[in-house]
Amino acid sequence: MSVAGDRLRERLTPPLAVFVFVLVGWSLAAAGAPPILLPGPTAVLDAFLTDTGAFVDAIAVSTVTAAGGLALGAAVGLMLAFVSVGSTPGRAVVEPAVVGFRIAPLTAIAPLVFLWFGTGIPVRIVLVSVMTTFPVTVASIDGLRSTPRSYLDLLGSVGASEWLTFRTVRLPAALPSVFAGLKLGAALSVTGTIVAELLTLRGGLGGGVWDAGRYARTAELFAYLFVIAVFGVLFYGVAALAEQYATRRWGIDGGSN
Amino acid sequence: MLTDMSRTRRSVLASIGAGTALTAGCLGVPGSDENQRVSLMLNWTPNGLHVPYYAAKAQGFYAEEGVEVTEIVGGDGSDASARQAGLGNNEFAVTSSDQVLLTTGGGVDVQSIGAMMQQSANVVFSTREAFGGELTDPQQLAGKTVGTGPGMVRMLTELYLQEVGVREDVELVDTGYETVQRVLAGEVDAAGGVFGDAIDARYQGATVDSLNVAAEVPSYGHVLATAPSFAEENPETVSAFLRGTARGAAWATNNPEGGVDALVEANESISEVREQARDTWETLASDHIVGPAVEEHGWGWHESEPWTTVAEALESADSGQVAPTEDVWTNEYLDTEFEYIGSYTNQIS
Repeated sequence: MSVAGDRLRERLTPPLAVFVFVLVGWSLAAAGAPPILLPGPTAVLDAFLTDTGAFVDAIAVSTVTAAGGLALGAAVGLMLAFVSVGSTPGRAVVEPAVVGFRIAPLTAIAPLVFLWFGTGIPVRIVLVSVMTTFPVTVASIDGLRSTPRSYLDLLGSVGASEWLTFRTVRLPAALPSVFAGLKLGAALSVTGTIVAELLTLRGGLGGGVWDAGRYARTAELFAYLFVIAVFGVLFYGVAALAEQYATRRWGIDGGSN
Repeated sequence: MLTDMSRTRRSVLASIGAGTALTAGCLGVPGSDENQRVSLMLNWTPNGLHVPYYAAKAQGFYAEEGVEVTEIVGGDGSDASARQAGLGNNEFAVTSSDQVLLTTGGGVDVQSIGAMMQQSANVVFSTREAFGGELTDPQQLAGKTVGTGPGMVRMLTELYLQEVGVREDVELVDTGYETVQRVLAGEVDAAGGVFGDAIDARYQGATVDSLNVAAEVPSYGHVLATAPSFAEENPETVSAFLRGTARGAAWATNNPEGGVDALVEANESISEVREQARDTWETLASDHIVGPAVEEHGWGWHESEPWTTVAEALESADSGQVAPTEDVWTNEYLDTEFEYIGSYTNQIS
């Protein structure tokens, strides 16, 4: 076998072994348990295949919500980071405000937000952005503040303007941190979306989870949980790919390993 | 219907029971002939609907009838309480008929041993402000918007609208968990909910009118459930629990203040909404615990029709496996010779 084949086998064997081990353990456990408590893998797969259309619809709704929440949170987070790094009063206001806002649990904020603005997708996007703003803000502030002194000195020695310094040095140097915040935000956007949908009981994967649970369709509930897990991994993966693209594009060491 | 797991569980329990009895007999353990200790899991956090259990415990009725209810545990929905009773983690549970059908259908056997609420708590209600007048007749709902929360409430509201012949003329909208607030805000003309929602709306200053869903759609509210295996092995304990509960319900009906006292003493946080809890209990006692079956047979008596109604509604809602209705309820443990069961309506004033 080729070296590439060996490497592939080496890389795939551990996760496949874990997958098979979990599948066998799950099947054995499910064989002795009532299906309402623990359905077997085939029942879960069957639940997914029986109503694939419903899962696709739910994924579409959740994707819009999570992507919207991530985009809004990233935009607000970056803006807050710029304000915080750009001025002393900004720094004094932004960080405590962002931390304080994030400490309040989403489940505590949500009922008020829904009461004021309704329960539609735009409102859920706003709610998700509450979760995603925090990591992007904090990581971006760290990144913007940690520009190597030698770079700044070099730009200073040639009389570069503040804007030029920001655009050509500070921002690219901050990208690895910004993307670290974005990746964390991507995972949180999925969590926030599911919570928001569970609280509103309207559409998406969270709505599917509630519906399946309420009517004791446990196999379908498991299928939703697996779809959510895969959905979260994909969302994180997209953010990681964006990081790879950006770091190649600007030649920055993104530390994405 | 008994699953393999239930049979296994029952045999294990029987072995443990036999072993314990043998050990107790050999060693002469003091108290081995005392009342059996059991726990009761509620369907939700304690509230005015749970007054009978607290009253019975506080007045010592359970102990007098031969059972010691050591703990009344707040619950997290009728689905969870039905499953906990079926699994034997709590001997008894307050749950709902739909969850008894679904839990048993899903392989965890649980059986209703008494119907505390002969009529479901569901109502269609509105405020004079939202409805633009008094709601007295279901025909007035034609052309209106009716909001409901999810699940059984929505199913029963829809069935009610069908029964009264206005389903096609009503716009049903999903109001999630904010049904009361949406009615108060006038965003919907009326709402399907439970009578506790109507009481909430009244306590927020509105003039509220309600239509009782059970008047058209036979369905139970709270039922008391246990695992069939537990009931078969402990028939006297089950009967004793039901006798104590019936007596508690009768006592609290005649002494609503004392009943609510028992609830509040056990759950201090309810003191802040004491009046609301009392209103809830009095509505339950006067409109939902009694009914034709109770007058004819006694407190807690089941009949088949409400089970069939709910089973059909679940099946049409594409729910999980629904158990055959004849497997999920029994009147076997209702001691109709006991005055607070057989002559319940004569015991309340």
